[in-house]
Amino acid sequence: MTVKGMEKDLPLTEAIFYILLALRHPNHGYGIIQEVESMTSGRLVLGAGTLYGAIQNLEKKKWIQVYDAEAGSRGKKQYLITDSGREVFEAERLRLSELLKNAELIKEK
Amino acid sequence: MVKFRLYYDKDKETEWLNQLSDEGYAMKNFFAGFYEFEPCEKGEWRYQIDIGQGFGRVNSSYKEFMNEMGVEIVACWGPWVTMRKKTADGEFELYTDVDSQIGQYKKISLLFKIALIVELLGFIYELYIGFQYPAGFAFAMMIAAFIVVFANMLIRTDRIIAELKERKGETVKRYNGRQISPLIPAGFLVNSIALLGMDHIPTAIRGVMLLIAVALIIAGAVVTAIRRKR
Repeated sequence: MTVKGMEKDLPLTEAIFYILLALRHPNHGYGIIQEVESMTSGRLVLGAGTLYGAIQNLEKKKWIQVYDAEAGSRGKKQYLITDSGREVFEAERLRLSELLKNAELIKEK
Repeated sequence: MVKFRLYYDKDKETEWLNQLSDEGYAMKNFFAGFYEFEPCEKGEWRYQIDIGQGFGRVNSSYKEFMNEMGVEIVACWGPWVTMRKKTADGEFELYTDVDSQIGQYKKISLLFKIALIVELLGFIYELYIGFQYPAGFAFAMMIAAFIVVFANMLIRTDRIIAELKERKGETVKRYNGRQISPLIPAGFLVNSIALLGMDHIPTAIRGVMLLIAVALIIAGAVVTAIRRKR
């Protein structure tokens, strides 16, 4: 799959990769940090500034969107990945699996 | 408790605020260099400083987001935002990956560039005034001192950016900006005071001050020139 112009979006940074992944279901800022931390066994703890900047950026690119805005008046603002966000993520997944497959070659003598 | 400080390096300012929190003083307000503190438990707060998108305020989405993270906005001054989080609520780092750190220092670099342009314009204006009134020269010298200090900050910021890019694996030119010795702005300031006090300071003392100023500037130039590249 080649989406026009997507090549320049890849590879994703680790932060963007995990934020998109954590937004496969509706999630709020603090939830993203916790989920990423547990997925990486505590290795990756996103800073508030890093996450805020990334969310702004992803919203601008329309890879994520605010989820259920009308219910969000009181509660915490939730976000969800969009279809184009999923396309980019899938392209990244394919790139990474090629990487992993080729990494096996190191075992050959 | 109120303390007066002029910080132009936000990393050092953050360090100072955290140190005071460790001693039991929490910053709660800021105005034009005056920091207001209130007693707190030792080490109760961790402080961080960010560059917001507004000027003298932060937009509501930023504020809401930070509050959700357990972060309290303490003060906004110009583009700078000071905030804090309870130490008990866990680590407080704003930028945790190289890309966003580069982004933040690029914003800081831009700020210093804008400030430098404004200072240069002021400097030229005061020089021009100086041909009619000697006080103009004095103010020009004062501005020159600030120009050197800000130029140093710009050099430092750009070096940090280069180091971060290198860590990311980008090939960067070895950044060989060297810091300008603080003796130079000190010389400018002494000169400035001597000029401003023209009518009040005895000529002999003014002569000595001018000698000291020239000596400081020359010494500063020599130190800057022989300073080794890191």
